[in-house]
Amino acid sequence: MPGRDYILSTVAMLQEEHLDVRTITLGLDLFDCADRRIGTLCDLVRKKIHAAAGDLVRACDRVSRSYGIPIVNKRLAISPASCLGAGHDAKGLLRLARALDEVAAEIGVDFVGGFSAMVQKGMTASDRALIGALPEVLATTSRVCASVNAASSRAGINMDALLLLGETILEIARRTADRDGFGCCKLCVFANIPEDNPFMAGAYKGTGEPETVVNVGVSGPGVVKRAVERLRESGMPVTLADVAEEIKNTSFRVTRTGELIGRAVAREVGAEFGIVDLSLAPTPEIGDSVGEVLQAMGIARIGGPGSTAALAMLTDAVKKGGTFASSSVGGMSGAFIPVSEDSALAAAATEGTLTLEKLEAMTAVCSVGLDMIALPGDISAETIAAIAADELAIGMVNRKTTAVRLIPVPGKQAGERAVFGGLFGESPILRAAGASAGDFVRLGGRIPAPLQSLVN
Amino acid sequence: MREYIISVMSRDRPGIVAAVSGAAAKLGGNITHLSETVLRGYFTMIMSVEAPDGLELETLRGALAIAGQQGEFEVGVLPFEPEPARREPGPDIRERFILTARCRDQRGIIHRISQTLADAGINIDDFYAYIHDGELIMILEIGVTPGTMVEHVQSEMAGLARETGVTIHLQHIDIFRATTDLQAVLRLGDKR
Repeated sequence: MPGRDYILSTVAMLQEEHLDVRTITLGLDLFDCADRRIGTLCDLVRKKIHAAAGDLVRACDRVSRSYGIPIVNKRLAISPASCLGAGHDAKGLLRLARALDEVAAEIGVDFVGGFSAMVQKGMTASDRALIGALPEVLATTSRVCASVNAASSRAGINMDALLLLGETILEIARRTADRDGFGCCKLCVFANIPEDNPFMAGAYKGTGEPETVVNVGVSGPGVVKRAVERLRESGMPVTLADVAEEIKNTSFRVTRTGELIGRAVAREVGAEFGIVDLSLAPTPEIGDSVGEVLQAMGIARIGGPGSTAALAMLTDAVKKGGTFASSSVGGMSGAFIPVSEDSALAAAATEGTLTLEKLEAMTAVCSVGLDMIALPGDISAETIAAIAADELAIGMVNRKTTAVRLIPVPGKQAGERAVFGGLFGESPILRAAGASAGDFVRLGGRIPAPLQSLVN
Repeated sequence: MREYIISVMSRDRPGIVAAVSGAAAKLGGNITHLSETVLRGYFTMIMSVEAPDGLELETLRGALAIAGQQGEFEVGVLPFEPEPARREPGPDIRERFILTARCRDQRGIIHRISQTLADAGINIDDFYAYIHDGELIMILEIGVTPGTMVEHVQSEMAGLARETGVTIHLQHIDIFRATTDLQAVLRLGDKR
């Protein structure tokens, strides 16, 4: 029998601190479904998803019951739709998206990611078709998630794509104005998009991945928060190094649980096991917040001085514990700070201590970027593109993944409230700096890739 | 050669294992397995001993009983009999679970839990219970044979928890191994 103290502390993590597996995401290659006739393509996609992933939800439930660990979300990530649907126009890709939405509902997964395009260096006709289809797709489907990689450390930033995406994001918001622009919650724009990310909206199955692969997103920040609180309540003298050690130990245990469950599900569905993504992914529930971890570390006002340093330490400790726990770590692996999905961050944004500029600084030391940011409805496409360019520049220069999930809220202004519901939460609409970057953005073309040497 | 299973109980002090193992060695015995624990200041030990032909059970018991001070050691000796052959040949394929339970101390609760497991045909392989701050904490390792519905056991335990107010959790042992053992997750099954 393992040590009794470890047993009791593990049970406490499981039962009282809600250790869970945040997502099991099955990556599925669909390239063999490609066909010039869109109806055939859609039929083949349906058949393959039913065959390969039809048992995914039941398998997750079986493993969950057997191990006594909840698996919160079950998802599907497919080959990038712009490649799968190459040769088809926006209408054809819309049919593909609807087929994906229907089959996702039939097999019971929460989301299907991979309505995606890689445009960091330039756009193909099918990339443009996919981006053109996004407003209709994201307004009329419920489970389809989209992502576009518009920058990389090797290619630079495709500003033409960003301006097109700025216009597209505004159109998606207009098409879902009755839900505060909710459609934009299902679109991520990336720099250095990972091929094995299990989290939505950015999950897709990369071309270098196996035929079918299970990737796992581990538990949320609640467990880490309680570990830090317990340490500080212990009465022992505690330094930041002790806090970092505690987070490392907790991350180790959380990661190991994720890998155990992920491997069990992979066996059940006959897929390869891919990676554990270490990211601390919050939900709007109280006690499941990255912001609350920072508060437990002693940051009284999130967004105030010390926030970036604390977040850097948290992210680093999570990575150190996780990489020691498993040789199969990947995805984004950091700490997410999605404002509307994290109650403490949303509260700090309401109080005004957490601003767009401070969030941008914080994303330089964590993953994944300006996430779930509600913006005024009258914002311009150029300003959206410029905000995205700033964030992607951080990823491009630092050779890390960054992304934006920006939601212009039609008819609302900074300071008003955007409500997305469920796991997407709610938050105040943030103020974007007034000065226009329109001239810069409209110059277009590509910001060249940064120097990879002379790194001082 | 004959084999005996021997238990020794006494108030704990330094030198008990030395005294007992010395007495066994003097008679030509060889200890092949041993497990000891101390509970609330009382020592208990179980061991398997290979004895030379001709060494009778009562002789062995008597020699071990007087290895300590007069009346100090309670000694039990049984002739060793191999486990009955498994119905299915091969390694133990039972799935192992850890059951934890905690409650304000109440008379008969260990019986209720163990009887529920017994009724489900489940063997308790390891059991530890103690009182901490007035709360009874129980940790059990159990083996569940293939075909036994874990959900059924979980449901029985949930019913017992509702009835008695005991907090009961049943988790697969691999969760605890994965979170405490440095061995790769991929290799955890090798230890079963």
